Amino acid sequence: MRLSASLTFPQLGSYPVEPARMLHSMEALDEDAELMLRYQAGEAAAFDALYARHKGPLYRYLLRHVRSAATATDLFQEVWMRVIANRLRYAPRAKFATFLFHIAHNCAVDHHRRLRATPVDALAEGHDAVSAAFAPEYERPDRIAEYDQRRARFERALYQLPVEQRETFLLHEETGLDVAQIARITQVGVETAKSRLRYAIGKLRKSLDESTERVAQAV
Amino acid sequence: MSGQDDKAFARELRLASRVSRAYRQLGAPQPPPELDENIARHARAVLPPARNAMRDIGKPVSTRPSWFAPFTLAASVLLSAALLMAIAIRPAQRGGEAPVRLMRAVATHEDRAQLHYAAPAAASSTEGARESSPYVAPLIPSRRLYSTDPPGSHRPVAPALPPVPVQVIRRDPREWQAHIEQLERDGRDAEATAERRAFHQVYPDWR
Repeated sequence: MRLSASLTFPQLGSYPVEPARMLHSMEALDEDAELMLRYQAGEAAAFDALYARHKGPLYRYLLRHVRSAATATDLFQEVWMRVIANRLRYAPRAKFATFLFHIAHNCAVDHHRRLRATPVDALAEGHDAVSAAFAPEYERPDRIAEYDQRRARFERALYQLPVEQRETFLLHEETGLDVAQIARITQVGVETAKSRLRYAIGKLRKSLDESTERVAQAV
Repeated sequence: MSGQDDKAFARELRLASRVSRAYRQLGAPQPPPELDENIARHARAVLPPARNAMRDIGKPVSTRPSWFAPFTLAASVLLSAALLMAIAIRPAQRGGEAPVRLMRAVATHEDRAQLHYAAPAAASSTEGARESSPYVAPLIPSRRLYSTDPPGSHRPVAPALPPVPVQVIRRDPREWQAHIEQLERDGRDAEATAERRAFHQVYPDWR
């Protein structure tokens, strides 16, 4: 029988933690967890430090995950509000990044559910807004250099990835967490997370190879 | 199998450094500054205003009212003082009564047995004032078991009592034996043993 524990946060859902991993995490308390505990004790400056460390990776994860600047901004704010609201329940049983991105994952999942329930017309409208707010670099007429084209192709390839693969890749790149921790955030098995990351990297590498070939043919 | 798979996966990740580099070239957009301000303001607003944050780092948040600590301290002092008074002052005020009671408590059963059959016959003539008192002569020499007086200032706790002439009324031995046997028949062995011991002290040569 496999033992498991869970941290439960209101509005956040269950947060599975294996005992062995919990013990390991407790032994090596990361600096972020210390900052969170200091904020929990009433030190506002600790929150500022914590926010400064994670705001960039979290914002980019959300932005490239939901592909909308406006939505990413809303979700970003929602994630931090939940962190603040649940500060007294926080216990450093895992890395703070795991805790933070678990909340972000749940917010993004809620967003995708809402999108599925939205009428098609509204969705199309939403995608127009996405394009306007987060226009790919390659669409700008003043950027026609090869470097920019290659970057644009990579960006397009990233957005063409299935949502789960893209999320796993973004978590891998932005948080530096290992596959097991990513699996916990996304609430899937380690093998599933590994498979998603492998597929994502394979497709992105293929897009880079194609770009290189095109450049070679042009020359 | 799993180990080989992990190694292969780690190799794939190393090869993916080109992908990571391409991802970094996408730029590092940041949240709008006004959003930073909003969140920071909210994070400060939820903190209790009166607390000195730097001093309280790492301490658990207390839910006790502010009067709890002084009240606890005062209660502890009062209880300690009351206990000290009970131990030290009370026996001195009550004179020798407490030691006498204590000595009564430690008196042997034989002593009590002898007392039972020793009537203070002359008490009425010599100690008129003590007629109604249940006080009997101390069973063991009067000495204090503990003292609260400073060294060298020893004073007797109880006034020295004049020796009370005791007239021993001897009970009829046959009747007494019959009583003991009756006790044994009734299954009151402890009482029977005590009676028999007292009997032998009064009539040591009785067979």
